[in-house]
Amino acid sequence: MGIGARLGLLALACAIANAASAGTESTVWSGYLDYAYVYSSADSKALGERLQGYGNEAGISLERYVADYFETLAPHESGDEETLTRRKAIAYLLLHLSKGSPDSLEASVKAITGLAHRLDRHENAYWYHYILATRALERGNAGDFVQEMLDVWLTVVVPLEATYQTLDNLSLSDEPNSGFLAALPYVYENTARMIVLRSQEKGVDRDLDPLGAIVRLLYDGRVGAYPEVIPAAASSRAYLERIVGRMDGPESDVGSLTFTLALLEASKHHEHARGLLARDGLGAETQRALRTTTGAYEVAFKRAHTVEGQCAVYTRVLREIGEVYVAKQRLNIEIELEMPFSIEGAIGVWATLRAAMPEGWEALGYQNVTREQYLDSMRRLFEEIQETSLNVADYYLWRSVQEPQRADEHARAAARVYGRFLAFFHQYATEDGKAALPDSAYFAAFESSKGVGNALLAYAVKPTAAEVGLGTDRYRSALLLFPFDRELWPAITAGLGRHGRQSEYAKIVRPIAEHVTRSRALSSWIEGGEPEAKRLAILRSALADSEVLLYMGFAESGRIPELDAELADLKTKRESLLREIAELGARRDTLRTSSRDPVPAAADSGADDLADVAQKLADAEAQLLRTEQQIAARSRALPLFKATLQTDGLAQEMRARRDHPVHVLLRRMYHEGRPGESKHE
Amino acid sequence: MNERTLRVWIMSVGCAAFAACAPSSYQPIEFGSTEKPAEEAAPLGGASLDQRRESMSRMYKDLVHFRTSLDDAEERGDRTTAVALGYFVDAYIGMHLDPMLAGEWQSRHPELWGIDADLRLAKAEVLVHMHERGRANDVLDELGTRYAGREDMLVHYPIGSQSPLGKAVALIRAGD
Repeated sequence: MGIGARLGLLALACAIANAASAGTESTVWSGYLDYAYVYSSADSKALGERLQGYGNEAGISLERYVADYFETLAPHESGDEETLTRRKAIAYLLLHLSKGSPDSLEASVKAITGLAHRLDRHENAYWYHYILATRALERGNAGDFVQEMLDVWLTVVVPLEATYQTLDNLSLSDEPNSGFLAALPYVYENTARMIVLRSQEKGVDRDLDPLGAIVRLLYDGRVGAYPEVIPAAASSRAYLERIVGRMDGPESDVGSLTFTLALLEASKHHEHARGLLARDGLGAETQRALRTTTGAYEVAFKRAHTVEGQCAVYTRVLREIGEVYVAKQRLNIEIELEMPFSIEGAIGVWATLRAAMPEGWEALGYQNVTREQYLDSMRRLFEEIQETSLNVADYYLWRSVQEPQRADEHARAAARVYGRFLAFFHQYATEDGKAALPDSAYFAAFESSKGVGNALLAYAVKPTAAEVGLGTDRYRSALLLFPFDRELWPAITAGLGRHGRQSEYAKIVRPIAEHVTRSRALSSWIEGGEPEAKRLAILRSALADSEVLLYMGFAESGRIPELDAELADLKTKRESLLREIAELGARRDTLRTSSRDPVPAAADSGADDLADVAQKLADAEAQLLRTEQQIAARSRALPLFKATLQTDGLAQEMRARRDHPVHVLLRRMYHEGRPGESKHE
Repeated sequence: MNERTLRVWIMSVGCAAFAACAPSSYQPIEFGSTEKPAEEAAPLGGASLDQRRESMSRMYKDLVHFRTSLDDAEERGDRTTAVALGYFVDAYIGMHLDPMLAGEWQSRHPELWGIDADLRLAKAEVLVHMHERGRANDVLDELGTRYAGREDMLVHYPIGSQSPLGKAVALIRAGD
């Protein structure tokens, strides 16, 4: 019979009993107070509703019952002072938990202190330490709270466990005579909730680490192990699992419970702020939620003893920063949020992690995890640095359009943000450090390079000559990192064109095309039929043709019908030239024949005509040769160029998916060497 | 089992549990006895044996978690936690573990000696993590006495693997 069923029977028995009158014991309330460990962990609202229901059954509210029976009309008729004192303490505790009254809590403490000499009884000891722990939480006293919870374990849980197990094996743990032994599953549950939930509700966010051991014990075959007593849905097992998983994983601070709870709390605030942002935009409530989130992350950061902990906080808080910038751009709202975190700070943490990569990485807080988990933490932080950088820079580009009078200022700000990420990337994208970079970093570097070019050549109104040079160079770097963005090729010529330097196009792009066509990584990718092999094969064929390269740089996709028409014109022109050549040839032959007649009509004029026709014929033949060359080149290159148009969209797909398989290809191509550019530029 | 019988049984089990939980200093001294007090009341079979085995297994796992927490605090350089946890673990050992380990019989019982040796090794290791090297050596000395001639029996040490008892003792003594 479960505790719930026991409470049901109790209620039935009580229903037929007389309603309590002031000053006499209520059997209803006595029963419910004795089993308060079943429901005392409910939140205040649910607890209040429960107590009201019990009060209806008893015919007297708990508040009045306490005032009358335990105070005004005391002493009572019962001789069991110990039980009465315990019930009184529990009753006051329940009033406190349901209504938040500090006086009730003090009355509860005062009552239970009266049993300090009877803590050999487990039930007394449980409520004694539970009530004192509740008061410690109210006072924000982490040290006392920890001590009380440890005492619950030492003086209640461990002694009950051995006997409970034996009774449970014999199916006797839930028999009426088992007394407080039956409470053990609830004691586990209540202890867990006190440590991981109520402590956070009460803002006790420091010095909880000694309780980390208790959390591990609770998770190990205790909380959630009695689904017949406490259903899985009502248990805090899942939350404990998350906590212990975090404590043991790489998003930890070497197993610190305080840090884990602080980071989980910050994540909860973050989720809430995200929900508000999606629903209400950047309104006052959302801004408050964002500030609360930042504050919670700041608390977690302060609780971190190790670089591991700092890395875990930065990985999450950077996401928040990026989300704010995206929201400001999307909603066209300018707000200022104080952020004690920065991309530079995250780069500093990452650099510390990277410095220990050859040896000593465990000492940064990763001694409980594998090297792969440590590297994965670095990759995740790197990814957040790159995404936040891209979001912030994109925001500045957007601002440059919104405020034309400050376009140069915003464009330069964007270029600086992109540039900072590029410098970071190039510093660490080395052969010996590449394991710490995510696959998507190479595409992010491409976007940053392209971003610098865009900022200085397209968004800035009056870039300096040096900026134009830098922008052009960054376009070239971008294509070296990701040569498959067809739309970037005409951007280079457009950028060069703005400053009269179109003639440099071929010189700039030739090494890039050679890099693509000679890439062993790309060849094996295509030959192996890896993802997007077909699309990439088209682009490689196109880049292998110098004429297609020119199409890619100078032709716009909208001009394809025009180019087709020009090819048709060339073919018509060839037909016309062929006819003209045939006619001229026939005429020349006729003139030659006439010149050999025995009586020439006019020898001088005949020789002139022949020379004139021969010249026209030579001109026509030369024109035909050029036309046929043009037709041959265009017939070969134009279909290739048209095919490249079908490859559009790969960049957008990769931007949307950090796990896009082509990211792996970019990494391989980068590290197999890039002609014409130093890896450490 | 009727209710009266059950109550008596629960009372007796409860008393036994309470006695087991009491600090060893509260136990009466048995003058002239070669056996420890726990020996006389020691359970030797049936449900009591199962209960003892389950309790010992549970305590072994508890000690593993204590060791992890102590180790983590040390690695974080969190002296406050290390000290607070040390007091707690010390009390746990004194109040619950030592009474459990006091009996001689379980070190000779074929169904219990494995977990008994594991538990003693885990206790020694926890004491090492608490910087109680002297007490840890005492535990290892007692292991040597109790398991003399059985140094080749396999024990769960280091955690997650097995090794002969003699080697495990040597490893802990060496500070591994």
